[in-house]
Amino acid sequence: MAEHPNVPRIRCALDVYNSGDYDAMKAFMADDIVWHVGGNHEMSGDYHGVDAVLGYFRDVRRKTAGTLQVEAEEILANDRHASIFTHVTAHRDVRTLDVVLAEALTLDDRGRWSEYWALANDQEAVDAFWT
Amino acid sequence: MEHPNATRMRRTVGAFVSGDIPGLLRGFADDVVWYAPGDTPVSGTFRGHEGIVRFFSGLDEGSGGSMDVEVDDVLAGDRHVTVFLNISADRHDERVSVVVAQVASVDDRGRWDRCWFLPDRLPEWNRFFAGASSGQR
Repeated sequence: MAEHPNVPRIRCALDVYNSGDYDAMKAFMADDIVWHVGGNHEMSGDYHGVDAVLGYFRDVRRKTAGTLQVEAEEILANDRHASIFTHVTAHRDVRTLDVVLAEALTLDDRGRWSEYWALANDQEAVDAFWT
Repeated sequence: MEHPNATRMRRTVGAFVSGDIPGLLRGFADDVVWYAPGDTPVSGTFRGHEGIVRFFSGLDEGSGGSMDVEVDDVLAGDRHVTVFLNISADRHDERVSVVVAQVASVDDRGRWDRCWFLPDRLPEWNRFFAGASSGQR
């Protein structure tokens, strides 16, 4: 089955994310994107708009000294939705994060991300890492 | 043509909607692990078929049997499937209406072995089901 064009687009976005070039991430996000961060920690909450989301990305990078990396195990996408199974690793002082994240995205008619939400296989570990 | 894993997922959701518990469980591996977010009776990690029954019974009980589930979209690959569900429920004067991305990985027998249940508006979801746990039904 042919790969949907939104799959390589998301793969590219993840590479850009890992590089830390967050200004380049703007191309992948709708202006009115909503980014839900679940869990019960200091980063939890809803981020509205590109600037807020990029601010969240920069906060994550600063807190982890640039160590947070995402590696997609599989990307599924069509015109309206995407789902990513992501292996996430990071270090923060003496703390280590190593989880699998199930991520869901809604896409606008240009394939840009309009809403994001996710859940880890070990949410307590995520909460402990960020708290 | 739809991917067989998408068809399987539609069958699993259909079994839940119709209350067909044996049909529902046929979709899951014996050692399935089910992750659900939040801090309610339907949150946490649920293991095995017993855990699946406990999770779905909790949804039914917490919503007073009012839960309405519609499949909006299904994404499927050989190893993973995600179904986007429009879920709503009413209890007295409370209402919850969310999009749930239910994400599953597939074992070598085509059964769901790891599942993530992701409501998009988690605070709303938590409020609704936390109320159920505190006797506000």
